[in-house]
Amino acid sequence: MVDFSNILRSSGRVSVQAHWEPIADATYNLHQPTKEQFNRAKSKWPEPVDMEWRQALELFNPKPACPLKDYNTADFQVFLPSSSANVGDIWDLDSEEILPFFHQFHPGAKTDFRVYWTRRGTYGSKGKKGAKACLRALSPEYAEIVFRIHALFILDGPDARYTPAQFAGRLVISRSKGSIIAFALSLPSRNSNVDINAFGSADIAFVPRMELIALSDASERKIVWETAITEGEAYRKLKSAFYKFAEIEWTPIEDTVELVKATNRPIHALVLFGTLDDESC
Amino acid sequence: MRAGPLSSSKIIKLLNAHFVNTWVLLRELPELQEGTKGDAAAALATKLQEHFVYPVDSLILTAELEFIQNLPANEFLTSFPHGERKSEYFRWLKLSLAQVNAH
Repeated sequence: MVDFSNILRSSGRVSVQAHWEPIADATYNLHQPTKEQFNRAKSKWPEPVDMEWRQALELFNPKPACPLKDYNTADFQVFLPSSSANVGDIWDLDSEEILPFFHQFHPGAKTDFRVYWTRRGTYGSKGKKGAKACLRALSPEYAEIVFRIHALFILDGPDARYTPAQFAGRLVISRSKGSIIAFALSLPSRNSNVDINAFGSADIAFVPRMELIALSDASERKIVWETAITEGEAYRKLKSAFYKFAEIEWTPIEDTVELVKATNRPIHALVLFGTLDDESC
Repeated sequence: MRAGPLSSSKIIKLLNAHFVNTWVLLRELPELQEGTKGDAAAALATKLQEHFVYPVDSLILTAELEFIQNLPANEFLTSFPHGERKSEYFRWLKLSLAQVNAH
């Protein structure tokens, strides 16, 4: 068991670069309405809309608010456990304390998923909020933490929201120097990875890259870990901590028929418009 | 669905003991039907496409890929209040098992 409290004591600064690519594909092209579609939605919206069609075309393709931002090493302490942890342990991150990292993308970042639905006139939850981390690997010199964070972005438009499937992250620290070796936090690059909403409509989009990555001076040479679980195992543990339904034994569709023949069990299949195990739907 | 019936311990236990569980994106069905992940997945994708009701659906098929029944999510969510959904989904799964056994 290792005590991580106030371990990041280096006075060094860490430059973090933000990448945010435009939507490459979407099911209904909500992000690129025709002028007629936009004017119809605007006229039916229950409140005045101070937006023109050309602005609507840019709504879902924002650029990072800060393409490059310097952080103090101690700022990354928010990703570490408040006290001691073993490899494989999972802990909650403080959703408010990690927000400054997401503000590098956009000032409308939220980790609280409570949003106002104008048409309904009520507040409601946009999805499953949360931020959790797992100690993946340890050596006498280094530690690696992986994390999963759910965040959304309130954009400047009528009920305009941009909800990434999740952010998967990784932080490697030097325990002896109290410094950052590597840091990255990104939207998994997978088909259908962002849920978008505007004017009370929804769509699922594909964004090839949305990432924060540290430009670290420290070279991440091959680290020999003393204790470790695989990255896949760590992310599975995180998924199970988010979703109870992850306890269901899901079989990939390409293996289903073979397993059915071997077990003679019926198939229980879900066909979905959006992904089951993240917030892109 | 995922925060309701699929997060019920009783349903999870039933699904893991008596079913092979899978999920697939609607938009992936066409390419699966073309055989991108093999003939068996293509046959299953074709059956699912035939009976699927938009936008989210639960479907039961026999081991021989014969369709038993489905439970379209929109219809399910509007038919039953939140407090009844877990018991109704459980009942639907048990009924499906009975139908499969009688098949």
